[in-house]
Amino acid sequence: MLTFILFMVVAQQNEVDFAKKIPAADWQVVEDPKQDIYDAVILESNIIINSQVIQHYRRIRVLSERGKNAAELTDISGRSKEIVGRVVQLDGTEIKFTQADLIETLGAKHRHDRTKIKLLVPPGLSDDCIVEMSWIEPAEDGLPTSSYEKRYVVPDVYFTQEKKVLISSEAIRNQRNYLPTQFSWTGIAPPATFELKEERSGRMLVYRQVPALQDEPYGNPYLDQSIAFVLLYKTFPNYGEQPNVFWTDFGDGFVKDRFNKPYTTPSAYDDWIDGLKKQKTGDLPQDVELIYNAFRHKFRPQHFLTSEERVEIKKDTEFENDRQLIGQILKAGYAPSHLIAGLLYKVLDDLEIPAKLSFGASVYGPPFNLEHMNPFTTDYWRPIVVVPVGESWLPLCPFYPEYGAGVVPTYLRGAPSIAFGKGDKWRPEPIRIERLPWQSNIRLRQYAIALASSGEATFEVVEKGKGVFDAYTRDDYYALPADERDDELKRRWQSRARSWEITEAKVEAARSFEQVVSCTVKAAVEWDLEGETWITFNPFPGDSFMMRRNHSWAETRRQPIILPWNAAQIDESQCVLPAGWQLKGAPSWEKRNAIGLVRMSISQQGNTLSTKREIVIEQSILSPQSQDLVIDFLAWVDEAMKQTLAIEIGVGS
Amino acid sequence: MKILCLLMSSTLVFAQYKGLPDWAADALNASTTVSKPKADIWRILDETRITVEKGSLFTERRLVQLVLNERGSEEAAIFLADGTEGSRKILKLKGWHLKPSGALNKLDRDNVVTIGEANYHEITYDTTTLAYFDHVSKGSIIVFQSREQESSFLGPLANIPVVSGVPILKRTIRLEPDASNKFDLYPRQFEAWGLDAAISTGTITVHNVPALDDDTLLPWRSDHYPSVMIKGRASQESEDRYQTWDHLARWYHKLFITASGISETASTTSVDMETLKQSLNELQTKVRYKQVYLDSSRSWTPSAGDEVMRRAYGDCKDMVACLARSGGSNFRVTPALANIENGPDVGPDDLVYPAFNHLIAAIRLPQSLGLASEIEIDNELYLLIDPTAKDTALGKLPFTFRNRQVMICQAEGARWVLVPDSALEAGEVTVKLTGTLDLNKTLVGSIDVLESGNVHGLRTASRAFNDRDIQDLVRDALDLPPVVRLSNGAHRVTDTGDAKLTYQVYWPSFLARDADGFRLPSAIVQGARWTLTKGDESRYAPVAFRGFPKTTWSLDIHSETLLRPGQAEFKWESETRSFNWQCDAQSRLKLIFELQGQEKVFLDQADREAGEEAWRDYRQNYNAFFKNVAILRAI
Repeated sequence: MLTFILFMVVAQQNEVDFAKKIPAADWQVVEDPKQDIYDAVILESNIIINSQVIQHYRRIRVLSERGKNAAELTDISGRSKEIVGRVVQLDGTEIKFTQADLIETLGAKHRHDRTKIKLLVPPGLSDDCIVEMSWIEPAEDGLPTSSYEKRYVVPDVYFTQEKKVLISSEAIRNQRNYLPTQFSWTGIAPPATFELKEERSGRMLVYRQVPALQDEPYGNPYLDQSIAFVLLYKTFPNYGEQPNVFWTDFGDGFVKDRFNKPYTTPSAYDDWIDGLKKQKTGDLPQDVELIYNAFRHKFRPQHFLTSEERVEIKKDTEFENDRQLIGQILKAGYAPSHLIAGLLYKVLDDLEIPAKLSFGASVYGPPFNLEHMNPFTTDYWRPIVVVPVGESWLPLCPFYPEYGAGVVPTYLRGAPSIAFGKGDKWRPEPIRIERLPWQSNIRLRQYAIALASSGEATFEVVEKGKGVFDAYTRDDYYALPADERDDELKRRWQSRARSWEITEAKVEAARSFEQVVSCTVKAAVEWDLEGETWITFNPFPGDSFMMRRNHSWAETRRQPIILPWNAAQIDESQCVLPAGWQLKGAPSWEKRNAIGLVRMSISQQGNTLSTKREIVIEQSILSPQSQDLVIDFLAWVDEAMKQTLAIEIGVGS
Repeated sequence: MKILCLLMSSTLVFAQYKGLPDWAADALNASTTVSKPKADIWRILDETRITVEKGSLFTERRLVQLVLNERGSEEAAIFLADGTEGSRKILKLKGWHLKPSGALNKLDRDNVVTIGEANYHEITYDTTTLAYFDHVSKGSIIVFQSREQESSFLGPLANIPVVSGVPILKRTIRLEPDASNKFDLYPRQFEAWGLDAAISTGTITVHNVPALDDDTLLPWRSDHYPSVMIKGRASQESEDRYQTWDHLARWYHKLFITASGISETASTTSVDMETLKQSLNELQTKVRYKQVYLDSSRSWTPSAGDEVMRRAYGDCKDMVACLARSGGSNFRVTPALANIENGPDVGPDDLVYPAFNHLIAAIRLPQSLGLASEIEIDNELYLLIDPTAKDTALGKLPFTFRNRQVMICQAEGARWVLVPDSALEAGEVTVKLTGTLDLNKTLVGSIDVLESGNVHGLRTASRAFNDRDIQDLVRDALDLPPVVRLSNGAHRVTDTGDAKLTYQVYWPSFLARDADGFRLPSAIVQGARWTLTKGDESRYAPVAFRGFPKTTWSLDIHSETLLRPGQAEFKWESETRSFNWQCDAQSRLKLIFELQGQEKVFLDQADREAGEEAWRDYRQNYNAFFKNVAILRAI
């Protein structure tokens, strides 16, 4: 009851006065290409955070047809209430929103739960007007209902003159002791400004002259200093208020409790461990690889089972993280993704391999900052396991079993993490899993081609991957039964080598963790060479580039560039030509810059035409100023991928 | 002995498909004698049963699918149904999953979710319901049965698709007995697609429907695909709006006039250019195009003119309603139903069915204003105007109206007119590229774009978009690779409605090494054309060539390296494609390259081979041109 009264009182106090005249200065706001101000300007945007209600206010200057979109309200949560507003024209005429302008539709319906979407299209918008609106939404401890985290992104789609976020004293005062809400925020880079005002009503964060959001490929908006955030989140209860105490408590409380239970081990498990003990060699990296391969054969998450294994599952298991977990896993035939790291940790511990559980942030997401004491920026419920080898860390990612020992998904490299282990009593250790050099990730395709003077041609290609590329291939084929695997391989190549007929396709070692997956494809085609004196020949039929590259680039970049990995794509082709056929011209070339290298090496020895194409990304994390280098590099990639060779057809053929 | 055997075998049959509905078991049994298709999923039965009750259409769907490959398990596990809050809902939804082990799962309510389709681009009450099974794998049998009810504003009508992305053993569309007295089924495009259908009263059955593959040169219009229309039977006494086109036109005329608040007594003593231009301008400035479909009536009924002006947004019908309102008593606006873009081709000889995707205005003219989109009907002159075409001059219609018939809905009945070619805004694009090529073959210079007829929307963009969005559209229209940098842009629209845009350009690897020389970017000269089918596959679907406006690239570039083209001149032309190359290079690369496409659809089965041949011919000639002519060799 008290909550309700508080809600109503607060709502009343901060009601917008629509009788007020629009300030003259607002009408002076115009488009300005130099400042990147187009279509609309957010004149003023206010968010007032109270413990039970969040109040919103906006005043928008519409400057063009497209700018009218700025005035629309789309509330996916459907929880907005008391939406009021008006549209004002230069001559003073004004139209107020009516009930007819608010449209409520279905968000989602599941069983008896229904959510709504609320959409408001202000009436009477012109391409030179001002729109003013306010609304409220219910909250708990300052967060939108049923949320544990809320990130307010300060910049908008359009230029913002002023954005204020008030964290009210009432919200700070009325926090629960258990699971209190933390409030944090960032400054902002010039030309935008940031001001923090401590007032009686609360803590006011004021951002001014905020440029519009910009979409940047291979970027991370969280590292764009012109993108400010105000972050509210629930954090772990009863942990210390200083970072080092907080993280020590986190390790001792959360990590140890969740991932280091005194699991009961069935005899099947014990026998398996004993078997592995006998295979240890004493060489740490070798032993880790051996153990990890054996682990992956035995324990995998449900999404990485073979089709034969999947068929066996009668129904999903509800795993309990108690002493019987290992027994449950053996019985179910798969392990839960969120506990598999704990199981791997135990296995390594039982085999006397020192290891830690590492909680990392994604290199594409919000940076992990110890000072914030916010575990939610990490994948806190799904750590990986790391083994110290010399000065560096060997990572293991058991919930993505396609990756081998020391190989992990790209998002986990190059971002800070925090690790905990039994060895030092679960004390926090900040670590980093760095990116590996390009030599660790190679996609290799080797072609053997034969051309006949009749116009008949055949090729055989073998593809093998190293590092992440082996993982991607394994992921493509692991689950499928043998005949489907080969058929899928055939289908992919047929789609790319369109005019050729794929005659054979074979995937080897798809289910082996000890070997690299190998794909072999054979194809044939017949060309009509009548009347031709030369042919244009693609030495790599059915080829593709290892990375997506058709993004649009902004003129000036603000975010760092984060390419997927340091890696190389190497394509080699040996082509046997009919007697008298000769390569024309000097088609070899090489271009290089700080990103890497693109090289085509072509030569003919007797009847054999050899082509080697090397595309190497040597540096994958770069400053925003490097954008031009990346674009140039991609232009060379296009050139190398499209290049064909001219071959003169011999006389008397 | 015999009787015992029969009993045994029938028990076995029942045991094999135990738990599944009889109709599913029957379909599965019938499939055992048929060889499995080469596909991931095989739909053994796809049945649509229709009945009508109190003006509502009830549709029952029955699906039986066999998962042939592991790869098909995810797709086969899902059932989707469209809905609309307030008019279309699912009454019943059941599912069965018979696993390869013999275990049977029934559809769990937890696995059914309905999602609203609205977002700020399109405000709608449409929904999609998704039902799915877990643990589906190779060998699984999935059965779905649904019963849906639709109470549409348009009355009980349906247009049911026949083909799908998976091969279908038996596709049946059937009217239930009570409906087959009053409704008829109309199969469409069955012959064109070579579908062998058994047609009897109230039932159409097709066997062995091939899957619709992800192919090239597929038809883009919905009426080029096989479907079955369901319509009430016409009767002499009935005032049913679908009896004749006149009936439909009269009904729509009345609905439109009433809803929009147009005065029917508007006189037509004077209609002059100035008033027309002013009314249209006021409307187009004030009213933004936006679609808000909250129920099926809204897709046909305009909002009252006053309400549209208050809101300042509306769709095609709303804008026609507003045009009438703003005209006041000066001119009489009649609604004209049309189809554009991917809409079906509908004319006076076609089945009377409300398949229109656009509405424009026909304004009665007492005397000619000398405009191209004037048409004469029964000695009366009308002017066709599309208020949503903001950038098209009065008296013209956008190119998408080409070969389209428009139905003017008068109080007396329907008047069909073919949009005259002279009324269409046609145009082309010319791109001039000047500058210098360095030793790396990077181009630094300027690009000038001239677009007539708003063919790529550059005129609209120049008038209404911000600089960044204009640049994005230019890149899109010219297919410029993302590596091209454009800067210092300027744009304007000429008096004749042409858009002129200019940029400074930086184009790395403008000339790319290929064969024993260099090639121009694919934005200018497209690469070699692909084969129509993959490997040794044969073509099942009709072959449809899209038309596209003529684009001419004109290059005048200074090159550090001396170059010579494969050939100075080359020209080729067919019914569907034509291109022209004129190149003179040395230290100045001068090139004019034109490419143009005419639309042609080889729809009928009998034309399938002609369609394939048309592509083969084009490909052969284009590829020979690309290889031998469109190459620049260093001298």
